[in-house]
Amino acid sequence: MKRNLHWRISPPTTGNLRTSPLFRQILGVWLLSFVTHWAMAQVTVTGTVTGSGETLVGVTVKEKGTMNAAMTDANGKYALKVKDGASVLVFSFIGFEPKEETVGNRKEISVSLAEGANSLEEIVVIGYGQAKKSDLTGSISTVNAETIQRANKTNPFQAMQGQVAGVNLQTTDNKPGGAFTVRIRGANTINSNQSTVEGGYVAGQNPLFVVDGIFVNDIQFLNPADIAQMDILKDASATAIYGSRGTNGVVIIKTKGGTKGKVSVSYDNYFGTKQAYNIPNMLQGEEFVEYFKQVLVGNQYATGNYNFTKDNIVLSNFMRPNEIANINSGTYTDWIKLSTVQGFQTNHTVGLSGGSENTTFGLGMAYTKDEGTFEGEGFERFNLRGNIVSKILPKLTLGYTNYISLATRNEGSREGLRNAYRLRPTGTPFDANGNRIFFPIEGETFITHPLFEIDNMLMETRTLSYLGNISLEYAPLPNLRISTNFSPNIEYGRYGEYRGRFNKSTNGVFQNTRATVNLNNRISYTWDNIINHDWKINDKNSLNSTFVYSQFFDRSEFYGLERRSFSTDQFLFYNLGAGPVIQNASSGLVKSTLESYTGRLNFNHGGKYLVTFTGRYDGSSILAPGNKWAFFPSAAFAWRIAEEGFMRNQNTFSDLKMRLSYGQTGNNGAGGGLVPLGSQALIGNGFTNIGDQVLQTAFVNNLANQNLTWERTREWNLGLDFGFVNNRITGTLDLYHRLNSDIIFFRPVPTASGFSGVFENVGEAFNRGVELGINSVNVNKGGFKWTTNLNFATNQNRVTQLYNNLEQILFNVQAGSFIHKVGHPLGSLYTFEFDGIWQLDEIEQAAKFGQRPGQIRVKDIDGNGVINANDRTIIGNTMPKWTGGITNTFEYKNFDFSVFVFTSQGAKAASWFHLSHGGVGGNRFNTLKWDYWTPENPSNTIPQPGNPGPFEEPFFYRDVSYTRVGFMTLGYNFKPAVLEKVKLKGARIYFTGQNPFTFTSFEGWDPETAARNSWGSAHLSRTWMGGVNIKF
Amino acid sequence: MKKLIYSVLITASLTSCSDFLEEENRQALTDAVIFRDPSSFDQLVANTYNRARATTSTLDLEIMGTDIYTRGTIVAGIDELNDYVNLRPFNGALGATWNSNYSLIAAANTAIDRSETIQGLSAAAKTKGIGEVKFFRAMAYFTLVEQFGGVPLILNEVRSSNVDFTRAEESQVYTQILADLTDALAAVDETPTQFGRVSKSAVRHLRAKVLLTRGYKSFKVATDFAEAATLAEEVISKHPLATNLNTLFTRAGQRNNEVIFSILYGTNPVNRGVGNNRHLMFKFVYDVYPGMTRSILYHRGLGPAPTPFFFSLFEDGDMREQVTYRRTLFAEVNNAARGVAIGDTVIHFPKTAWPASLIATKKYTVVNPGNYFTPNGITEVQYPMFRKFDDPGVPYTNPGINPEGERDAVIMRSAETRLIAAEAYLNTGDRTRAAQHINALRTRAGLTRQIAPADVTIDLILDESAKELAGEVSRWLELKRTGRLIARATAHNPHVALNKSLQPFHLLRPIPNREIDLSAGKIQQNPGY
Repeated sequence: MKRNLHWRISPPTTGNLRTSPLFRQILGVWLLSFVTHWAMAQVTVTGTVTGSGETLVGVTVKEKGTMNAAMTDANGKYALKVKDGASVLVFSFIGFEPKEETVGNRKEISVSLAEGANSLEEIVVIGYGQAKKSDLTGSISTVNAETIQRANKTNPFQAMQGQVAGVNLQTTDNKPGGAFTVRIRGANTINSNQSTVEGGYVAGQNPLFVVDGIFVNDIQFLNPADIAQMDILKDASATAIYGSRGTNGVVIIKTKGGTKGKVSVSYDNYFGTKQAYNIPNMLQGEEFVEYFKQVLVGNQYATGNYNFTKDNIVLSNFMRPNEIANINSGTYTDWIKLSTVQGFQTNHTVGLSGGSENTTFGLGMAYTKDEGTFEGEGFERFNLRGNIVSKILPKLTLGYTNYISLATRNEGSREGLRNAYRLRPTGTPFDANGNRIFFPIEGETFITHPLFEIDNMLMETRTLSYLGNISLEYAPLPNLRISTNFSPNIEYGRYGEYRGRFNKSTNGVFQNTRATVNLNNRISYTWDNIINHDWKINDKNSLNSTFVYSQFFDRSEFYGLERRSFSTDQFLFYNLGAGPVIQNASSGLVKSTLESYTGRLNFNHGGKYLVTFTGRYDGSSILAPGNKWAFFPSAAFAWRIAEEGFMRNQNTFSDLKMRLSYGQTGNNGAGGGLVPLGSQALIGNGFTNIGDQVLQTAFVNNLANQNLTWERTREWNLGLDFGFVNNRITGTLDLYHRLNSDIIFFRPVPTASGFSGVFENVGEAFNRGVELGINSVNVNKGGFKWTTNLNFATNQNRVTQLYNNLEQILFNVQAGSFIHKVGHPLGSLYTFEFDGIWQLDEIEQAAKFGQRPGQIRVKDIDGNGVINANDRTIIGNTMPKWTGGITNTFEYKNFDFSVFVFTSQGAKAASWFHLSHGGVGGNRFNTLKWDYWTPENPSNTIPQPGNPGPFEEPFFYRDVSYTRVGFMTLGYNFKPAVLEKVKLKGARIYFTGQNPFTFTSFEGWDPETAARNSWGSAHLSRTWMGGVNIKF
Repeated sequence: MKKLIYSVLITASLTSCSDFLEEENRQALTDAVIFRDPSSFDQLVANTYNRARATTSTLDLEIMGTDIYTRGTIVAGIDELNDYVNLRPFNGALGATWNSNYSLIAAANTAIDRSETIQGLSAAAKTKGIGEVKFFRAMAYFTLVEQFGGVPLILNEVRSSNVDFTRAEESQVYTQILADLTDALAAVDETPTQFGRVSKSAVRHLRAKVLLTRGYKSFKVATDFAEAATLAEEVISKHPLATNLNTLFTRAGQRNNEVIFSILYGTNPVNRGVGNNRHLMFKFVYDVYPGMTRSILYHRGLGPAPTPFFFSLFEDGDMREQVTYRRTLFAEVNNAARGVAIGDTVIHFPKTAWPASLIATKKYTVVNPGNYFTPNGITEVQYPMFRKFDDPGVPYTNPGINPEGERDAVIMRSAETRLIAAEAYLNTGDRTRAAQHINALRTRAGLTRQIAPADVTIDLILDESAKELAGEVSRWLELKRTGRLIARATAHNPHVALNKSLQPFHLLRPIPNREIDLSAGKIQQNPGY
């Protein structure tokens, strides 16, 4: 009778689903799984499981090789019927080493588990459900709370960086609260999706973030210490459950919840100081004066006057009087040193959890402060979380989760640091009374004193985020759960900007003071209705089925206002009415939705053969009618070879599993710039003046493309999970091949059309790569334990086809020139190729190209004796060739020390630092200390100052490979004997260096942020911090 | 409990119809919605006026590398645009001119095409509106064809991404410009009620200039010069020269009968756009001098410079000199340390060189005519500063920040029409009439010496234009049209003379590289680039 019930709980029968033959096939497979035997157990074994001196609740006790299992109760006790004395019990629990016991003649088996992370027993979130890692068929990597705590970052993105093979994280903004780009297995969809304003182009988009079941765009609002686990879904069989949202990978984040038992409280903190490092080597003092003269010489060389020398220069004709005075007195200023400060960083997190048999709860609050290395930059965040899960009726569980975050980010000034790098060392910072001089170069009215920015520039973003979730789960049978989850996400954002009178852009003119306020509110919700059924067909076969009907709704409004000419700087942006000039008033509303039907079947045969089928039927509002719906299927198979009989007689492998998967996901163009109704021609509005009247204007804003359809990803993944030497060495190896077709891209079109480009399905590309992750316990004796966690990934990307007979698509983002070209990676860098410097003995050859000695020479690719647009070539790519990370942890008695190093190799970037502070074209601004060309120093790498020639562009493309120590942490755990005296469960004190060292040949601030506009850049920084973790 | 399950499922199924997938975007309505209303046509027409602001303020290609304007830096080094050294299709100024003009063309095409389907649009409104936008389309194509040669001729709104453009012949572009102007002339008002609307005079003026230009080309029509002169005469008769030169360029006097067409900006930030930027032109870094500061009078102090040749053109007694620029700058702030008080003379540029002995007696800086491009320890380049476009009261803004000038940008006035007429008559051989028009300008400028018909030459007309229209019209197009660019720029532009790179192929600019890259090989680059 029970079995029949499965037939009644069929998936929601709507018109859309009925049309899908695939669902019938899935049901057929489900039918086939009726293969049955029900062997009766013969012996009952009972016992208690303990660990860390406490009884453990919820430990899985399993008869090896079967699906027969039990769990320990609130007292740590279990009872399990097993076949006979030859049966082996496997005890497993998160955070503890598993243990096996052969039953023999015993009726009672009590065990004590040793602490330690066992990856195979980890519970992994797989989207609308969870699974043990050993039962996974897809490629999923996990970052657990322990790793996050060890990394101890202020930002949840950073907590992931370098930790997971195939997940490439890049900072795009070094200021506190700055954004990141996250690329999982390379670039999929290719729209220039800049996660930071002016952040530079990295092909691809960030993954979908799912926090406690809610789709969010950003996770900056989370306190890393609140994260229980991050699961990164990489292959298409894993992400297919998220269908249209899964193309760029999925990061599922679970925040900490409650646990049964006595109330436990934890308190964690740290205090630290942040200092800038990797400071570019700019010209200082006399070096600049020498360079200044060489530019004047270079100007003459540029026009062919090779007789001119620096002795011909009367410096006072070119430099300001105060500069000449400073040079004469040897008074130079290091503007960078002058404007760089140490920042303060702290975090306090309090957590509380507990519960009774039927109700568990978790609460927490946190405060984080993070200051930048230029005064005024800062980030502050308050977090409050609370959740409660209660069995309100025997079969009905109600859950309620709240997560509130209030973050304040002050960007400080976007000009301050740039001013410090532009200003000549010959300027004067302070007058005789010690007051700052607004224009440090007499007469220079463009570059102002960087320190004026601190009290004259405010760019503050305040964000209030609320994540909620109400879930109701009905379990009519122990193995059937029907749940509905409603999860709203509310974001209120306010950006306030005030430019006071003495600020670079206002230039001391009060009419130019300006206050800007932008408000946005976004309300989205995810509503999931889930049916989950565990069906133990017999002792060998089981089937887990999940069906989901889901709606996602997203609505945003924004309002912007700018007023100018404030008579006082005191109002900041809090009294817009006091500004007489209305500069801007704008608002907007967009709403978009997604609707989906999802099904997943997990079939498990004897713990050896695991099969997963997933299908998601997705509808998206953003595409034109006729293109809205698409189906994304996937299938995966896993073979736990270690469970096979023939493996019993070998000692090499303690675990071995093979996985094979294929899946499809999609992308609808949203998130890459396509706006709601963007498939149609949208009309923009403005105003003009005719006859002194305010006349409204209208214009067609975009080229419509109603043929725009789903971008589709098809991915194969072959994986191997292995363990050697009794699982002291475990690892995962994945090979994948992913084909993207109908790639959506904002394809540039000739501006003669009146438009800059159009969203189109432009072509096909693949990503293929290898990912390797290894965990090993190198030494474990005499109280000394050394473990290593290593990951490595390499990804290759190629465009295989461009539609409409296109051979290539060229486009520009920020300072970079890019190309999509068949046979090359998406978004390859496309420019002239640097070929040295024209030398004095090459005057005639240079002249053939219209150039002169001292100038940059580029390759004449087509060899036709003329350098023109045809001589551009692909010189590299913004994605690294390979990445890797290694964490070594040493524990000795109560001490622990861990060090994490990661690396990114082979990426190039159009370096904005070089463009604005590393060129040698002129002497108005300071520049990098180069070994530049002079007639006496015939450099072949750096051109002559003042005479770089017409091909400076390739000079600005730099290799941005780097290796960074992510953190070094030394900790001490107080002994239990000490703790008992003060009634603590645990206490740890630690010292950490965050990002303490970076090794790179890149001359700019930071290889990671090389491509972002220098407007708003910040130094790379390290933080030295210390803190405590207390449990009671 | 089963009820609950079923109600969940039923709710799910009910809400899953297409309603849920409806999206909303209130900030930008779709064309299907907005073009139901006849007033939307007025908005499309108004948009061409708005976009014409960009085409008439993107001036690098019109100014740089000519006989009377050059870059504001010392006579050393190289520059792509001004010095014609390695001018490449990547130069940003090319794209700025190309894009702003094609953007104006697209606005005009949209108004023309959509007028067919906008519901309830009256025939009269439609005809007049199309006439106005065709005037702008002609204006944009005229700039493009003169700068770049034959360009893609796009006459309909582009509504698909299949944009395989090819370059039309130069003569075809001219034919289209003249066709548009014929239509515009028939459609627009003789005397529009709103100041700033396109009038028949504006169309005639532009048509005269286009014909004058075609008259020099291989594909000219025999009557081009004569027709240009006739059109010009008609405009001149309706727009007499303003009598008071002193108020002609002031903000109060900027609207007068002499003005044929202006692009308006105004004081209201809602419809001012980014503002008029002409008040920024031809001002050196004056604020370094003691007693000077960046002010609402002298403003930014950056940008291109007039050449010494320009200043040398003005005869004694030519009133245009004093209304165009100032030879003396007065202190605007006290600087006790340097002994300068507000109102003191700070810099003076004598018309003829002062002897060192006289200069030595002055507390202020004196810069003789030969030293405009010689560093003097305060500035590297210094010259008499333009006042013609001054916009007192507009706050100083940094480069990159909207200039927010409030004055009208005078695009056409009859002083130019007279020079068009003079040049046309010279080419038809009627030197007497040519001289009459030139002398009318000279008389108004307070000059008594008249030009004899026999003395009228192209160079004389170009000199007269420099004095009369400095900063107002495209010098580069004038020089190119008359075939005098290479000779005059090489002779009078110190940077062009230094680098000696200007060659005949420079008479066509390179097509912006982006257009070539995106044309899949269909758009060919001009020779030499």
